[in-house]
Amino acid sequence: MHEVNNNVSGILHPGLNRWLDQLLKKPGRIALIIGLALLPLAAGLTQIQKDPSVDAFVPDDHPAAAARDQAREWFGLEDPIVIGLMARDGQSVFTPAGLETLRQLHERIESIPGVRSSDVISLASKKAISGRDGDLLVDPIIEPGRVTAYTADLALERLRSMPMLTALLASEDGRIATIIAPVDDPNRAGEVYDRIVQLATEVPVELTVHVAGVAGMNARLAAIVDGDTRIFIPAAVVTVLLIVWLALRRPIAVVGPLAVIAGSTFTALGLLGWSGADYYLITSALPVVIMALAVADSMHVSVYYLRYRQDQPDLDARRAVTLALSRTWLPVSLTSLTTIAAFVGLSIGADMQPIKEFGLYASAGVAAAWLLSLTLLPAIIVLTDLKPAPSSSPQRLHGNRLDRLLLAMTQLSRQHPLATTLGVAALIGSLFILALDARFDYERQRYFQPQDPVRIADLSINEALGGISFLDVTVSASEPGGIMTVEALAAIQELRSRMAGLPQVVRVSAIDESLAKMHEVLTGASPGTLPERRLAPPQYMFLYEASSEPEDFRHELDYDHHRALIRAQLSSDRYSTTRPVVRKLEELVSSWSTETGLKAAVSGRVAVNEGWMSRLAERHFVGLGLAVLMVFLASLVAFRAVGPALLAMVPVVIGVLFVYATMGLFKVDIAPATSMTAAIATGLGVDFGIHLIAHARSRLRAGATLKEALSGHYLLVARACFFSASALGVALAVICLSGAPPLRWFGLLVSAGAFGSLIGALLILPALMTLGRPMFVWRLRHA
Amino acid sequence: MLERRPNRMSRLALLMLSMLVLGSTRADEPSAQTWLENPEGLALGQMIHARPASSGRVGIMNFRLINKRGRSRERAALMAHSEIEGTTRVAIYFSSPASIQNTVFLSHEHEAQEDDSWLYLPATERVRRLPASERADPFMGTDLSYGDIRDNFRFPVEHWQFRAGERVEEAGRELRVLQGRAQSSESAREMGYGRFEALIDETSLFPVRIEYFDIHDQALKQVTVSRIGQVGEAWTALAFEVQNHQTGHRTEVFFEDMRYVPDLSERVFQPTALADGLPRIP
Repeated sequence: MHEVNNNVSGILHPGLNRWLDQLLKKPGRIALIIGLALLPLAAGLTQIQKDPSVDAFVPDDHPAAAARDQAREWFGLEDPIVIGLMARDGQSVFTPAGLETLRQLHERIESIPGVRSSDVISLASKKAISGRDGDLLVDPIIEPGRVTAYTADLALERLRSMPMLTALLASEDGRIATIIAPVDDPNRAGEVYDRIVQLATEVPVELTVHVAGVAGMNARLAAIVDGDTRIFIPAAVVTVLLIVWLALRRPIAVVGPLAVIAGSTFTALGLLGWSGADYYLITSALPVVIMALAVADSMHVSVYYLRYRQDQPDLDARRAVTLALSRTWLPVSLTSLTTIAAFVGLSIGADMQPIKEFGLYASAGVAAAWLLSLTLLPAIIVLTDLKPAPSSSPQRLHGNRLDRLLLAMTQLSRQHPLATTLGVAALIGSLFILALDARFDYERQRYFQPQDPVRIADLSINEALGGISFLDVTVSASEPGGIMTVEALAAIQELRSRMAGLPQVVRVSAIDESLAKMHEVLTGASPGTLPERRLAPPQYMFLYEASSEPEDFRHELDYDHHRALIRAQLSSDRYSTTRPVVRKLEELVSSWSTETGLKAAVSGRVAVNEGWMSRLAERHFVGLGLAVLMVFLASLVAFRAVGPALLAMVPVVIGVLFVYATMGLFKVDIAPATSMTAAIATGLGVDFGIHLIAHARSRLRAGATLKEALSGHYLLVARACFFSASALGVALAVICLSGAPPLRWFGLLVSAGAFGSLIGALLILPALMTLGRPMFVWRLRHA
Repeated sequence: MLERRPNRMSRLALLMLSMLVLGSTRADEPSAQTWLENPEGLALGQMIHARPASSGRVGIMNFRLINKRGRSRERAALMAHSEIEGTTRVAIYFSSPASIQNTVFLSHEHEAQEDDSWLYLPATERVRRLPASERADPFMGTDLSYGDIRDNFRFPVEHWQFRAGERVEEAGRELRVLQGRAQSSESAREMGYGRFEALIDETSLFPVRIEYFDIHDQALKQVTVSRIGQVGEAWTALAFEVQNHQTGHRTEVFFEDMRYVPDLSERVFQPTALADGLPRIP
């Protein structure tokens, strides 16, 4: 039997001991009080508002975000749902059936609540400019009334006469016709998306409808993540509890950890709800992270408790749990402190709201897990009178296969410290090389599985049109009417021409095209020529309005002709591809603005994405560095010595490297869904080192040799660490079964980080302690 | 101005027969399936349609066009209007903003033949014939339609069925509720309206407010007349506003210095004279 050494640090203060003893005399009361205290917190879950958008990551002060908001205000532009109508056999959709279907879809989509009906555009709403004998004719692309073969051909002809509409509302070969449907809230368009998908099933069999667009893909992603988290998070909890059962070998033993998991999760999410914070895409991972930490704390207390009852059968539950707490309260508190420090560092270092809030509420969850592990868990253990499994025996410490493995690893590391250290160094080197392949990147369609309908839709529409990722420039004249001048229009035409020469650009459109078309039909000028008479532009527009709606050009020109939009369509929205295009465009726009005197700003979805991805890339390592620094400082405060604090960082660094190496190996991009995983791994991974170092330290202080310190109960701690890591790993493995790639990546990366930290802690710590033994032991003894 | 007068007696007889067969009508709003024209409504509609026309009037017309985001455009023009012998002629000589100064819009609307309209653009130094516009087409970027301009706050009896409702008091005036329903789907499509609900000042036979519904029975726009005046024998809207519910766009129109000019020169309404600029008007 292994004696409890009452002279180690970590023993409860006599006063605390008495308080705890008194408290545990009425465990039911404790449990009830804590349960009641948790209820109002849990009620906060009902206040949670979801925001599944990627735009939540855009800092409000980013220029691209500001330009996006202005474009929305001036031109009514909003991320749309894009509907692509195609013939199944790849033939032209410009047939009577095709265009009738397009028209009907357009009308039905307009009437869906949540769709900005006056801003829906398609060939069914657009007009063609033509002329006859020098008179301007403005005709609908699709003639009113029943569509015949003649009017279908006419529609294609009219489309082709309007190059500013091709590659957006239809392909020039007629294979696809699109409906661009802006929605009131592109981040919460789930119902709209579902209605449109339903409409898509009602088209004639020879046609097919693809539904995508930024708003559509946001909606689909939100639905997938929402659906999967409802399945996989409870499944992860069940899996974790199974592991706990396996570790503690008593079904009743899972009640305590379950209560701690539930209480800490309700605390974190309840506070989130009450504070009015949004539940972002990445917040889906919060319950899993909190669960992992809650399980770790519970496992350490439970493992020690069961060991005491096993070793001293006469000990009752209350005495055993008091003894267990005396052993574990300090390392549990230290690990909670360091983990909180990691998340606080993450929160401080991030300037993206979802990441800031993740760090904040994760800290709250960890704090709750700490408190509940030291209060509610003991109360439940006493209430249930948890006893060790009958098959347990003191000899099992060495008889169990896992324990033998842990012992072997520890001994190997201690007996061959140099070789172990060099081996781990080689491992670190390999990880580093793999990590170099990790890339900051983002592409919307990669957030879906290849067979997902929205990904297929996005690919189909982009392939047929060449690309519909928008990169915009908003141009402002000095006063209303200033765009409708010969000089401004010529300047816009010139900028448009320069933009068309940028890589990835499929098409660039702006109001000058329509003015040039009017000039062509009114005067017989060659295509693309702008008028030169001073008052021609506003009078051409006036002439156009004589035959058409007052706001036909509202998406290109604001109402008082003060501002114009130049829209480029790119073939890809992948950050690594578009970043140089955006940067080049910014330079172009800056010099053009200086030359012409017109103000211009880069905007559009591609620019917004580039903005927040670049900001993420700039700040990512700052956040991680702060998390690591905070962990180190917390370890320093906890251990009150540099040596142990530095030692505790070794598993952390290995865990972080595992994360980036996994990214490099599996080509997982560093993006919003994955950027926090290294910081999370920091918070999780430090626990293993803290527990092991704290235990060894306490033994050395008590006079044990290093060999003795790294055996006996050290293996108990190692076992608890192993099961904690296993619980986390298995839970995350369950999440890896999700259909949502972001959840899969998260599961993969965090489990890689946790296991990396565990391996680092189990392998390297004994070796480093051995190598630095004289100084280490001397310092610990004299601490 | 010649007006077509439908066979009032036969329509009244048919109505009375319908009422006998179907039972008495109710005072409250009938359902869509049982909407019936009533004699009072028909009579009122016809009286409105027969309101005296003006052989000639001239005034300064001020437009303010406002979109749903609150951005606006303002225009001013001299408007000349004449309704003689089945033809309504409107000439609008724009004076501001400077970008459209001296631009002229001219239309000849005929009872018995297709309408003609022209636009003179100084920048092109050419008078251009505009394509024949549907009644439902928007007029010059405003929320008025060509049909609204042509009808001049009347309801063409050949396109509408009428139902008079109760009298209501508003702003110290007693007004009559008048509802209209398009005679047929073709009429509805041509006008761009499926039905309307109006408040009529029975003294002037001028609508004070008209709520138009589109062909899908969705609220389309509201026309509110805030000031009318008598020019010659004709009542004329001197200030009114049109609010399009579907686009959020609004048009405000008010007239200044509106006067009766019975002997307007023909040059005012000649397309070939538009390029000569604003003619002298007494």
